[in-house]
Amino acid sequence: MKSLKTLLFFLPTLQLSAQTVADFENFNLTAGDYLNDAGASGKFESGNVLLPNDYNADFDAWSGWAISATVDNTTPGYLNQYSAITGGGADGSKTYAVAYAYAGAVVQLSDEAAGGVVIRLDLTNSTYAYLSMLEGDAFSKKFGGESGDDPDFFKVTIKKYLNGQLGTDSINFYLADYRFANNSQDYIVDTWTSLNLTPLGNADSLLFTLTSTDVGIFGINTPTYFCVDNVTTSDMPSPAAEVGQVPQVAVFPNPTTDFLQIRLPGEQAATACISDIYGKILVQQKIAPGMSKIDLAGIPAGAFSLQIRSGDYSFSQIFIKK
Amino acid sequence: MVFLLGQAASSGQVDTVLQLPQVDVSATSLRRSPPGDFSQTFDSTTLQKNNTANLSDLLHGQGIFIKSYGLGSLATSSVRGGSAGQTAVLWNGFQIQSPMLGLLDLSLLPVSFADEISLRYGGNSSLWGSGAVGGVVSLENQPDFEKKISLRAESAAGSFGWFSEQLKLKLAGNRFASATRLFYLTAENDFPFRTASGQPERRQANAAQKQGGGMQEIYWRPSARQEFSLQTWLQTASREIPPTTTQAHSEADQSDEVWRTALHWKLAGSRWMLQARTAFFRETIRYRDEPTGIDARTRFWTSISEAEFQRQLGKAMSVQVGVNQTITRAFSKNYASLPVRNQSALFASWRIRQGAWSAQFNGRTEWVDGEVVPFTPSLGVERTLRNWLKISGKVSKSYRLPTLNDLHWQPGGQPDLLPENGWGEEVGAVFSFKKKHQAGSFTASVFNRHIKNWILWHPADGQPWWSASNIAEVWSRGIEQRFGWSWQRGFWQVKLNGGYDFIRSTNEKPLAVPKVEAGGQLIYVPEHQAFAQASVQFRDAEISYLHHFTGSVGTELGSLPAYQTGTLRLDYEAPFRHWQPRFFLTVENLWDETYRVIERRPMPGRYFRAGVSASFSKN
Repeated sequence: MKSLKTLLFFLPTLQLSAQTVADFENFNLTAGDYLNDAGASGKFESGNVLLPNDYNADFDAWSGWAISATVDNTTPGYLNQYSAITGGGADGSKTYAVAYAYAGAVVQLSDEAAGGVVIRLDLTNSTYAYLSMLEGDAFSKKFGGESGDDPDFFKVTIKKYLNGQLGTDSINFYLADYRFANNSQDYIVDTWTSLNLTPLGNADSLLFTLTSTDVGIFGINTPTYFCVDNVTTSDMPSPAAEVGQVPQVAVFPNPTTDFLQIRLPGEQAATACISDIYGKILVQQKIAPGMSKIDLAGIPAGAFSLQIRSGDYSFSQIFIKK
Repeated sequence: MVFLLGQAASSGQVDTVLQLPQVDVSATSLRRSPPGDFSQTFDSTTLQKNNTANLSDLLHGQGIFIKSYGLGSLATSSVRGGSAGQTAVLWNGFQIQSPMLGLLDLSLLPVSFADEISLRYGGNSSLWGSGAVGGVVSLENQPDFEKKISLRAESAAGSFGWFSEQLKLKLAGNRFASATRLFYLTAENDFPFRTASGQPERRQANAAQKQGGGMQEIYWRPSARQEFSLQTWLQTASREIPPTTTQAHSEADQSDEVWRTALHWKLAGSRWMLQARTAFFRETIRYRDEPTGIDARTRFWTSISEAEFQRQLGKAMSVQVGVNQTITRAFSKNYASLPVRNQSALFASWRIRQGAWSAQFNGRTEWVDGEVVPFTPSLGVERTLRNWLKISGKVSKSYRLPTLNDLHWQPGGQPDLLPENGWGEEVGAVFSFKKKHQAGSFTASVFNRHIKNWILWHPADGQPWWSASNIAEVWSRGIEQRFGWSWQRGFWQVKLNGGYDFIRSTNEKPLAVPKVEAGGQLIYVPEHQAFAQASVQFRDAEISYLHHFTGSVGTELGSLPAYQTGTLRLDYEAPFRHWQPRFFLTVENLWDETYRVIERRPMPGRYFRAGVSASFSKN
């Protein structure tokens, strides 16, 4: 079900690219409602993403993802586990997704987005986790601890799966960060924050895991919840789809610091172009079949697009230079 | 072995084999004092001094590790490295732990509601059934047919808005005796504390409590051979639940309502005794936390019926056989149905005394909802080697049934859980002496115990809830030592006593969650514990000092450091006509130690309590 489709210029090397936003409004929830049972499919679908849900009707217990339009950002405790601290979805919308990620949570990409780049998503805290970190409860600590100086944090880490392999690159986002020497800088996220996921590159799914400094022998004490909205995926037959035609092309390391290595299949030479987000070509060189190396000393840190063209195919990939 | 606290000398136990020949309905069951155990009995002087205390205060005062969540808050025990559910608590022979939780909040048991309290270490499931793994705490009520009237009233006050009122009235005729006990307790418990030196002072909040209760006992002896008794115990407690040190505030509270009634019948012959008794318990707990919208009520009732017959065989032997039927029903919205647990048990004991030897073999078989608990035996022996030396040994099997929550809580309860069970062994020795002006004793025991199928709650595999499993195996071993010495001359009396326990209680199987390494000490079980008490009495005045050392413990978050506390106490008795007014003053945590027993739960610094009591009695 496509909820919203827009066009934008993404990276010039990807040409004009369509994107789909999973904003969860397609569930048509009224304010205050939530869905914690995805039924037989076990997945909530919005845009081009699938959110796995494991619901036990006997105990009204669930894990994975729920869809919510609840607005309560003041009631502490697990009875208010479906609410975002913002009191609604991103950009004033009504509906959002809530993850109960005690063992991690996965977002699967479907249809045109499968194997493509996830462009961004919006993240915020759940009311349950936010108030638990702000004020503490019987099981979890108030962040900062007894002195207020504990360098606590609550972090979500996002990695990708591609072709069944868990990527090594990750994007970390601090839902709460009390590590500052000046406590007045400590914060717990209470607004929707947009996260650029393009550095992860092509993906079949995303894995979200939570880390907290409030941890004991039974695991994390902080309620392992967070909220997501506007998961924006790329629609174009993505670079990964092209990779499907030339699966042997490999580019590494990514992220990198000084150079890129490219393994080119076949026996035909190709042209490698590196361009920035404005489409400006920074590096262009011929590469021979087999292993080649591109020196990145001349370009600044940031996200770039690598495009490889030969007579038979073209291949694109985003990479990060640190 | 019996170690009498408050008295320096250790004495041999009362041997019921010798007591039985008289037609005496006050004779005790073989189950009450088996040879081979290490035990502590709190004498009447100790109980009287602790009249305003609760059971957790009393046990802590004598070297038992009490897991206290704070002043006036939940308190449970760990005896010999066991869990809270592995201490059985008996009231006149009936187990009174919650069948839902498997444990009892010792802070809700007023010392003044018992005439005798004892702690028997080690496995005694062969005598008392489930839960008697680490030890057995017994509260006994006893009729007093000697005094026609006995009245004791006590009023005490202390720091942090603590007030305690106690009243005990005992009346007796030739055939009837009655005892009425009332107590009322209020406390704000708003003590100041610091989380660490240099940190600003904070004040405990939402920690107030009110407790009140009454117990009525009626005894009727229609003949010298026969006794009926009826005891009813009603109690309510309303307690606020304070925040942790990492919680901004708490508005939670818990109320407990308890109703316990028991009916006993005893018939004694010259060489036998028959007892039948029945009890009905009903308890309700309501936990509320308004900001989170939680309002949870749980309730259970238990019906226990028991009969036992004891007979002396010849001069040296006694045997006892008995049956027990226990039915429990519990109510909670987290139970899918209304679980009923039906327990039937057969138990028997055989005791022999030959010269300096005495030995007792006990066995129990129990059926729980049709499933048999494997036969549970124990054998204890004792021998007096010299008039100053007695040695003892015991081998016992013990078990703890899964609680109703372990079995039926939804989600996570597992109906097919097995009982925790295992074998324990112990040996001990008592050295004692008595001279004209002084007496002393030294007691040491070494124990070893393996418990399998230990039940833990942990995050369930692949499920968003916690679940109970028989996943742990625990090896407990240690040495317990107690000493006592007293000296008396003229108006002066000096007493010293103390003890040191070294206990290793280790997980034998590594676990992922909870994260447990093989060989690691159980959390909240200190390896080292010691206490020492000294008192000097001159005429009617006494000053005493009690010092405690509790070693470092592991916790769910890391570890807590060792701590030491001291208690200073002054007592003065001023006889006035028929009345015996007594005054006391205690300074608790004399050295103002900053410490914690439980993570994130502060304990108070130095505080005071004082009281006055008046006793009147007439034979």
